Amino acid sequence: MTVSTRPLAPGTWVVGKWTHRRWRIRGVLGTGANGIVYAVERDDGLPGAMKVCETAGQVAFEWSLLNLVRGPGSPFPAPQQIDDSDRPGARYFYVMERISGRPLDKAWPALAPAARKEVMLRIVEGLAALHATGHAFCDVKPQNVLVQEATGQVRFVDPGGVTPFGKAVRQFTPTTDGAFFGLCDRRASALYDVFAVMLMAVSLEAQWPATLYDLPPERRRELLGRMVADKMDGAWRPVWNRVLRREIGDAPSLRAAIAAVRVKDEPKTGHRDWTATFMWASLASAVVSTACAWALYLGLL
Amino acid sequence: MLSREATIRQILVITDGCSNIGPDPVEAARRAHRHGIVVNVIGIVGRGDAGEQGYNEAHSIADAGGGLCRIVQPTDISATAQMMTHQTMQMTLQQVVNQELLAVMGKSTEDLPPAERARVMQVVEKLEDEVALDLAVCLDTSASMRDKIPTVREAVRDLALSLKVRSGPLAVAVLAFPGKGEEATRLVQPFSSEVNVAALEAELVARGGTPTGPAIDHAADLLLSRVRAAEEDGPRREFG
Repeated sequence: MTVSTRPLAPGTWVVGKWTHRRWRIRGVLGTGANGIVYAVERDDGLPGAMKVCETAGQVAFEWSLLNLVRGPGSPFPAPQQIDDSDRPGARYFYVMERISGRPLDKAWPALAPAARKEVMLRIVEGLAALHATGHAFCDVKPQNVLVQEATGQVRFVDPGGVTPFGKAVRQFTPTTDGAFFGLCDRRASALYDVFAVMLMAVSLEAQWPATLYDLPPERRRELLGRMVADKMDGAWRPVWNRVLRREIGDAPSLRAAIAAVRVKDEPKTGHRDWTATFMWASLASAVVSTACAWALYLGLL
Repeated sequence: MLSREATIRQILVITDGCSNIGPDPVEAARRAHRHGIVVNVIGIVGRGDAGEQGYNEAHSIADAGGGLCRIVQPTDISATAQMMTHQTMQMTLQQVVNQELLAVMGKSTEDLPPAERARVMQVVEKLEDEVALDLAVCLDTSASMRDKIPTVREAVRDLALSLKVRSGPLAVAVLAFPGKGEEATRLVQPFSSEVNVAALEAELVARGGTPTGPAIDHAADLLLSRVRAAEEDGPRREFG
C-alpha cells in the first residue's frame, strides 16, 4: 500500500477515458496529504489545476465536495471535469479552476496593515458564505488561502476538509486546530473555523516553540494566551482575546469585530475616534491650568 | 450492507527504529492481517541515527499488515496518526462496499462513471462515521525514544480526541514495548473509550531494546480476544 510515485513531467499529455479530453501537464502546484496537484492546460487551451489521488474513491469524494461549495462568488476553485486515464501517475483525477495568487504566509510580510485587515475580512466573508450552507472549512491555514495582491481578492484551495456541521474533522494541522489547544472538540462547526482564523493570525505573527508538541492541551492554551498578549498587534489584540473568551462564535460576528479594528494607515472614515478627542481635550485643559497657575504665581492675574 | 457486528480493527505502531528482540514483526503483521486486522506504521525520523534499515522494516510491516506507512518528524505524529487511521478505515470500508457492488451489480466502484462514484463514497463516509473502531496503539519505548516520549504521549491523546467525535463506538488500548523488567510488552491501557493520560505519563519510560514483533502479536491477541468476547455475548447492537 505504500506508494512512492515520481510526479509526471511537464509536457506529458493525460487523456481522459470518459470525456475524451486531453490535458497537458505544466508543472507541480503542490503535494497534499492524499495526492498531487498539477498545473494543466486542456486541449482547447483552458488552464486548470489537476488533482491526482491514489484511489478513485478519494477523487470522487473531493469532487463531490467541490460541487457542494460551487457557485458564483464561491471562495473555492470551480470544478471543471472528473475523469480517469491509462497513464500511471494519473489514473484517477479531477480538474478544477487554476487559482492565481500567493499563499497567505508568503504574501503576509509585504502587506500593509490596512491590506492585512482587508485580507482578514475577505477570509471571514468567504467562511461566512460557506457556513451559510451548513459546512465548515476545517482546514483554514495560511497555505490554503491564496491572496491576489493586485486586487486584494482572497480564494481558498483544497476543499478536502469541508465537512457538514457536527461531523468529525477529517484532516487537521495542529497549529491551526482549536482542539489541539484545548479550545473546542475536533468537530466541524462555525466556531472551529473561527478558532482556526485566530490561530492562523497568531502563526503569521509569531513562531511556536518546539516544545509545543510535548505539552498537554491546557498548557498549549496558556501558551496561546501569552502569545496573543505579547506578540499580537495591539489594535488586533482585543479581537483575538474575545475569540479566546468565546465571545465570538461565528463568522459574521468575527467579521464585525475585525471591521472595527483601527489600523494605522487606514484612510479616515466619517466618525472620529473618541479616545483621541478625549486625549486632546485633557492635554488642552492641562496646558490651560498650568498657564493659569504660572500666571497666578507671577502675579499677572 | 455491513454485517451487524461490523467493527474495524487496527494496530498502529509508532517506532523510531529496527526491531531487535523476538519474532519477525513483518510476519507478525501478516498474521494479524490474515485475521482482518490492518497494521499501520509511523516511523519517527531520529536525530543522527541513519535508520535506513528501520524505514525499510517499517514499510515492510505496513505492506504485510495491509496498512500505510509514513516516516515523519516527531511534531507530525499527531496529524499523521489521524490521517492514516482515517484513510485505512476508508480503504477497508471501500473494499467492503466494492464487494457488495460486485455481488449486486457485477461492477466495482472503478467501473462506474466518475461522477457516480461520489455517491458510493458518501456511503463509505457515512459508514466510517458510524462503524465501531477497535484500535491498539503500540508505542516503542526503547532507550532511543527517551526525548520523544512526551510528544508521542500527547499524539496518542490527540488521536483519541479525533476519533471520539465520530458517532460510532471507539475502543483504544495502548501497549508499550519493551515493558518493565523482563517483559517484552506491557499493556499500559486496556481497551477503553478514553485515553488514560495519567497511566501513559506513569508507564511510558524509555528503556532497553525494540521487540516490535512481540508487540504486534500482543496487540493482535488483544483485538481478537475482544472479537471472541463479543461473539459470546451475542451480536452487537444493530448497525446504523
